[in-house]
This record gives sequence, C-alpha cells and structure tokens, in this order.
Amino acid sequence: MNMKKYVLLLLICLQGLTLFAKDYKASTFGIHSDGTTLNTRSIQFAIDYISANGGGRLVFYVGRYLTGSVYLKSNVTLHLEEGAVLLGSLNPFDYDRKGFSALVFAFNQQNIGLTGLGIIDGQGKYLARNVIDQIEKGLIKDAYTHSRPSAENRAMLVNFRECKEVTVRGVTFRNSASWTQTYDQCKNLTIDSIRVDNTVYWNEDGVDIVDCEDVKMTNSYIDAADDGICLKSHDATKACKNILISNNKIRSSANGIKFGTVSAGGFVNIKILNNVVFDTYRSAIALEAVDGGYIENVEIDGLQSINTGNLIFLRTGKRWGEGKSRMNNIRISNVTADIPAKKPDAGYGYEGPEEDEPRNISPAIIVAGIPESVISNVSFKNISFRHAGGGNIQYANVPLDKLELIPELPAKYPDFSMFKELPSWGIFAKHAKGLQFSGISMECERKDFRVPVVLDDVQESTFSGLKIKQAGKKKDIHQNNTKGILLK
Amino acid sequence: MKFKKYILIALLLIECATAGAKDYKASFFGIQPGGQVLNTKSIQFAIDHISASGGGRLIFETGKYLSGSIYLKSGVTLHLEEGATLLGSLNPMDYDKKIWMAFIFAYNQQNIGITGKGTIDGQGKYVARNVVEMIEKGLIKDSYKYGRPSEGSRPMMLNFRECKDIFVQGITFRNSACWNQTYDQCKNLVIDSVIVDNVAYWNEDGVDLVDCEDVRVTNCYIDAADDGICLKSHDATKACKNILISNNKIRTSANGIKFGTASRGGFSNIRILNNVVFDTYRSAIALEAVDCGYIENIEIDGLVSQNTGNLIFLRTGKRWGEGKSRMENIRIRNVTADIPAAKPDAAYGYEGPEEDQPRNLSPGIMIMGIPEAMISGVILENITFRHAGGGNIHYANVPLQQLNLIPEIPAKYPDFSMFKELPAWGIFVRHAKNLQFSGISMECEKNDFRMPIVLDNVQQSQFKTLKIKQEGLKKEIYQNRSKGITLL
Repeated sequence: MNMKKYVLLLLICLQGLTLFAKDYKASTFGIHSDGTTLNTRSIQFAIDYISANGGGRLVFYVGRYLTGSVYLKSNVTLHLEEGAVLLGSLNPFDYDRKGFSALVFAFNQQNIGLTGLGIIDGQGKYLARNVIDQIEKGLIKDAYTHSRPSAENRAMLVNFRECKEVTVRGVTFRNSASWTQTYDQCKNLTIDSIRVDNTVYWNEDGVDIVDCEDVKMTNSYIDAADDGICLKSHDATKACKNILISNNKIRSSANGIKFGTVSAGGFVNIKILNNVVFDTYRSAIALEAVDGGYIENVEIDGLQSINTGNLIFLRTGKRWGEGKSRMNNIRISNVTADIPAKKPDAGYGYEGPEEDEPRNISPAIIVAGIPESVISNVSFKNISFRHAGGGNIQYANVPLDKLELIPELPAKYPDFSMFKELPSWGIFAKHAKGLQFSGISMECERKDFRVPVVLDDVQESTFSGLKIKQAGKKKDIHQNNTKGILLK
Repeated sequence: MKFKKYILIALLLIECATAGAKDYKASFFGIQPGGQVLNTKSIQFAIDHISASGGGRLIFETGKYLSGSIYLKSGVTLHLEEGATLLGSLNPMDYDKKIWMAFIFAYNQQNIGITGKGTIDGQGKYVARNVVEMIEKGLIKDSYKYGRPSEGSRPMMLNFRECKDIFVQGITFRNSACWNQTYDQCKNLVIDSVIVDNVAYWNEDGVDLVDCEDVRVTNCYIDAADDGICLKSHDATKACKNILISNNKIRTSANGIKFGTASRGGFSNIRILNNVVFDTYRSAIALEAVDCGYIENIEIDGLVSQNTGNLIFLRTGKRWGEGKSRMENIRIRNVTADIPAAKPDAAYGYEGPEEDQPRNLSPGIMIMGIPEAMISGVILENITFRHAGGGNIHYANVPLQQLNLIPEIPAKYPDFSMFKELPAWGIFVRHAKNLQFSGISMECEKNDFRMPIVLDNVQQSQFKTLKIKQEGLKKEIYQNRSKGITLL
C-alpha cells in the first residue's frame, strides 16, 4: 500500500519534470541549418511558441544557424548540440539595439538557459568591419574614437537583464564584436563549463556580471581580448552579491578577474576560488571601487597567476558618483604568480595597448587607496611570486624620499599601470590600514634598484613570515607616513 | 541682365527638382543582390535613411534581392531597374501582420513610389506551401478552409494605407501568396504600365483599391487568379471617388473589373475607358452594391470583352450593414463581347471553381436589383455581343410564368452565377428602373430555348434599335410586373 503510494508520487514527479523539459527541434519551426538562410524570425517564433506552450528546449542539431537579434523568453532553453553553431549575421542592421546591441537578448524573463556543447559565433571581426563601413559612409552615427565603433554599435553575444533562474552551460562563445555576455541585475545565475574564445575585436570581455545576485561562475575557460570575468555595478542602489567564481581558467589582454570599472553600487560576499589566470596583460585580480560604491567581504583563495602583468591591484578612487568609495575585508590566500619581463599577451589577437613611454615593470601587488577612501582589512596569506625585476634607475626613478611625486589621480580610470613608475617591485601600498601579510614569499629575478615593499600612509598592519629573494637587497620595507606596522 | 535672371531662376528650379530626386544605390547600404542574403533590415534602414535625409530613390540594379516585410516611408521611391527582382522570403515568419500580412507596407506616408522595369516576386506558391506546413504542424492557428490558409495568414505584395501621392509605374508584380496590391484610403494614386502575373495561389486579385480618391489605373496588363481590378469600400463613411481605369488589359479567373464585394461606403465618379478583358471566368464588369453602400455616376466606355463567362453584372443586395444599397446613373457604351460555351479560364493557374451542378450559360447582361434597392438610371449604348447559346430545356428550365421561382437571395455573396438558371440568354433585368438600351446587337450562336431579353419588375425603360440574331426567335422581350417599357 505504502509502496504503491510512493510509486504514484514518483510518477507524478516524473510527469512534472517532463512537462518542463519538452524538446523541440529547430527544424520543426523551419529553422535552416545551411548558414545562409537568415533565421531570426523563425527562431523568435520558436522561442515565443515554446514559451507560450509551457516551456522547453529549442534544440539545434549539427549545422550553422544564421540569425540576427533574438529574445529569449521565460522557460525556454536554447540547446546547441555539439556541432551546432548559432551564427551571428554579418549585417549590422540585423541586430536590435536596446541600450546595447546583442545577438541573444532576454529582459525580465525567468527560467531561461543556453546549454549544450555547441557554439555561439558572433562573426564579430567581420560584423565590426561592416559597422565601420557604415560609419565611414555616414549611415551610422558613431563617436568612432580610435577608429573603433562605440561598444553600443557592436553586438555582444548575450545580454540578459533582470532575469531569474538563468543557466548557461557547456556552450562555446566565439568571436563577439564587443563584450561576450552581459548579465545585468539577474538573480540565480549559473554559468558552468562554458568556453569563451573572444579575441577578434576590441572590448571583448569574457563574462560581465552587473549587479547580479546568487551567481555561480564555474569550470569555464575564457580567452578574451578584454577583461576575463568582470563584475560591475551600474546602479548605486544595487550590488553584485553572493557570487562564487571557481575553477575557471582565464586568459585576457586586460584583467583576469576584475570588479569595476563601473562601481556605483557595490560588491559583497564574493568568493573567488581555485582559478588560473595566464598570459594576461594586466592584473590577475583587479578590485576597483572608484564610483562611490563598496567592495567588501571578498575571499580569494587558490589563485594561480601565470605570466601576468600584475598579480593583484586593489584600488579605491573618486571617479563618478557622490559619496565615498569603500573597500573592506578582503581575504587573499594561497596564491602563486610570476610577473614576466615581456608583454604577457604578446601574439594574442587584439593585444592590450602598449604604453606610450617605456618604464620599469610594476610591482606585483598594488594596494592603492586614496586619502578619503582608505582600503582596510586586507589579508594576504601564503602568497608566493616571482617578479622579472630588472628595474633600471637610469630609466626612471621615483625617489623614496619623494613619494608625494606619485600622483593620487582619484578620478582617473583605474588600472595597475595608472601610476606609471613606482618605487618597489614586490608590494606597493598607499592609503591603507589593517593589512595583514603572512607567508609572503617573493623573488626578484634580475637585478632591480627598487625596494621590495613600499608602504605610504599605511596604518595598523602586520607582516609575518616575509621571504624576499633579491640580488643586492638593502632593505625589505620602506615606510613613509606609517603607524603601527608590525614585523614578525 | 534680364536674360541672366532667367538663367539663375532656371538653375534654381533645376536644383530644386534634383533635390527631391536623389538616387541611392541599394549596394551602398549593404543590400545584397545574390538572392540568398535576407535584406529586410538593410532595405528598411535604407528607406528610413533616405526618408530622413529628404527623400529620393532607392535603386536596385540587376540582381535578386531577398527580403521580408518592409515599410515604405515618405519621400522614398523603390526603383527596380530592368533585371532587378525584389524577392519575397519563402519564410512566412519573415512577414509582418498589421491589418493584413504584406511584403511592402506603407501606412500614413506621402510621396512614395515603386518604379522601374524590374519585378517584385512574392514566391507566393512556396510561401503559401510553407504556411500550410506550419498550419499542419499546429504552429500557426488558422481556420484553414478548403485546405487554404486564410488571407490573413498569407502575405500580399503591397499594402498601402492612408497614403498620399503614390506613384507605381512599370513594375511587374509576380506570384503573390494572396491579393497582389491593396491601396486602402489612399489619395492621389497613379498606377501606370504595371504588369501583374499572379496565378500562383488562391485569392490573387490584380489590383485592389479600397476607399481611395483621385486614382488613375492605366496601361496595365493584369493576369490574376482572382478579380483583376477590384474597387472596394470597407468603411461606411468613405468611398472610392474620382477614379480613372483606362487602357488596361485584364485576364482573370474571377471578374475583370469589379466593384465590391465589400461595398459599405460607396463608389462614385468612376470612368472605365478602353479596357480589354479576356479569358475571364466570371464577368468582364461586375458592379455590386450589397453592403448598403452606393454606386453612382459610373462611365464605362470602350470595353472589349473576349471569351468571358459574363459581360456585365449589376447587383444591389443586402448582405452587411444598415440602410439600403443604391445603384444609379451607370453609363455603358461601345462594348463588344463574346460569351463562350467552354470554360473561359481553362488551363490558367488556379482556375475559377466549377459549379457543383452543370447548367445553361448565364445571360450576357444581368441587372439584378432587389425590391428595396432598385437599380436605376442605367444607359447601355452601342453594345454588341455574341452568346454561345445552346440552352437546353431538358437540362434546366425556369418557366417564364414562374419567374418568382428565381430567388431574391439579397444577403448572398453576389456573383453572375448566384441565381444559377435564368430564362434569358441575352439580357435579364429585375428590380430596375429608368434603363435606356440603344444600339444593342446580340447574337445567339447555337439553338437556345430561352428568350433574348426578360424583364421582371422593370419600370420606365426604353429599348431602341435592338438587333437580335437567334435561330427560331419568337419574341424579343418578355415582360413581367413591368410598366412604362417603350420599344423604339
């Protein structure tokens, strides 16, 4: 009797499951796989139909499915089987512009997804060229700074806004003309095992998460011309909250994992675990609160940074917005890194731009607050890195007794290279308090005239277990305007 | 001095003229001529751009330009060079549905045109088949009567509504999936030298004019599966007014030139001059006021009707709407015709449907009022026609003394065949007054048991110089319930 009840219950449950997992073949809707038929309207019809009929997966089998902008709707998953390519049209006019332009939009939808081992290919290189063509003919109005169409005029691959229960799994994102994928004010977002191959044009971030809550970003491989995984906060009343970024491998011609630049609201309760960043032009990790927002309670554990221009860049500033930016309670542990002498992203598509003037290599760890937004409570534990060194005093020099020559630049676009020449090769910290360094092991490969660690206006901080290897080293730490620095 | 002034003025005038006629090549906007790239959005962008830039022509040079629904805007002319084909997408989803579905829309625009010796090809046979497929899959909801998708699910080629100053010249319209071109509540419309080749599916009218004013339809060649040139009035407060239809050659599997069926408002001041109608299943001319609208002040002069099922069908009725339909002051002159024994549209694509029961041929001229809407003031002058005759009394017979057996059917869809068997071969008139026949010459080819002319409830009418050739002719005119009939 009891057994029968369970069986019945099980059957009901199964039925419930299958109800929401109905599969529809793309071909049912007359969607063509030949790569030349523009399927925009058929795909849209299919999505609308599936959404209106209780939801399910729109399944694309092997083939090339050409399309312009489509809008994902509640309870619909686009499932791309291995060998299926959702191919962005080469024609700029086939894309809609909703603030930004995108191939796959979703606004205010829930329970949506992009899954499967297939590919979303934006053909961005050619699309961008076609945009340029239209700009140069005067047909599209664009600021066209640096001969690049503005990001708004180049379609990203995915733009989801105010969506809930979003699953993106397995898919390869390739060749966007702009950022790859932007999730804005989404909740319950899972991005797992995706691959981003995006080095065909400028501004190609790998994943952008804007003011999202409850996000898991895991097991992904990202090769992006711009920031790899980038958390932003556009809305001063909102924040990126409860986010896990783990087991990802990232290559970028900008920053590996970045918070900002836009940081109007905040970033809180974020765990960044066991990631690898390699061949990356700027920082492996860059946390930037420059627009009056806050960054707090961030845990970074198990980071491997291989061949990156900088390891960690923490920055407060005052660029946009009212009020004071804030950065507090950052825990960084178990990190290995190497900072090379050469350009780390050399040979990748759309390399990061060379600086106008050559200079000595930046320090690996930069903690750069501003006087009105002191960075507080940052722990660095078990950090081990090699730095290429080679700092040449004839080349450039910021004397240790004239640290005030280093500009504050609170309103400047933040970046590890923003201060140009700095007087240390290992760690440079300014306007910070409550820093705890323990188990720091750093090595300078080539002779460098600079000090390993420079602290300027740093308060109540401790160093324990500091191991420094540098040829001709005179002193470990230079302090200026500091108080309560404890060396164990 | 004075001379210089004139030159200056002349130059200014030329400049003004060219300012309004700027030419833009389609290729300039990235519109592709290969027939495979779907150009919908590029063509739309081009139209919007030209309209916003002061107007001009969008020139399509030799090639096939695939597109879905586009919207023509003020000041823009689509110019198709000889060898250029604007090709309708095969995908039903590529068409928008406003009131109706269409390939080229224009709503509330002015100074628009479609010109050139190129072709607009709807690929309607295949679009219709694809619609059928979607219906049979259950993806599109449709009443699907007779295995045909309803008109609302099939795109017509042109749907212009509430537009002014329209110029359509030279174009060949081919293979619509529905009506060919509908002009609804338009003003100042010129349709000149257009070719319609439209026998690819059901309901393919050649030209539909709905509640339009100041129209010229001239020098056109129309081959249509449904009505050739069809004037309609959908709005009880509006009318078709001031229309010239001249020098057209028309072939259809319905009516050559028709007013109605929708006839809510009216039709007035319409001249139909020097047209040819041939191989046409139903009437060469059918004027139908059945929805409480009016038909008045119509001049038909110089009509050649070759091999048509009926010559002239005038009908009032009471199908839709409130009030009384009205038909008066119709002048028909200089007409030659022959009514054949065989089906006139045999072997053309989408032939008119055979009737369920075989019957004797309808009379050449039918004037069919209803008691509450007498047809009045019709002049028929210099009309010559041959009728195949062959009426067989064993086949069917409406006895002359039982004319009341002929039903009134005021609410029925009007058509020359609606009464089935009639007791005359030449002229049948019912519920009419003030008719003037003069110079009527009619010949019955094969032996026919029927009268040449039957009048039933006809008042105050005249017959002058009536010439009738019929084997075994006993009596020319049979009168019933008639008064004031004079024979001169």
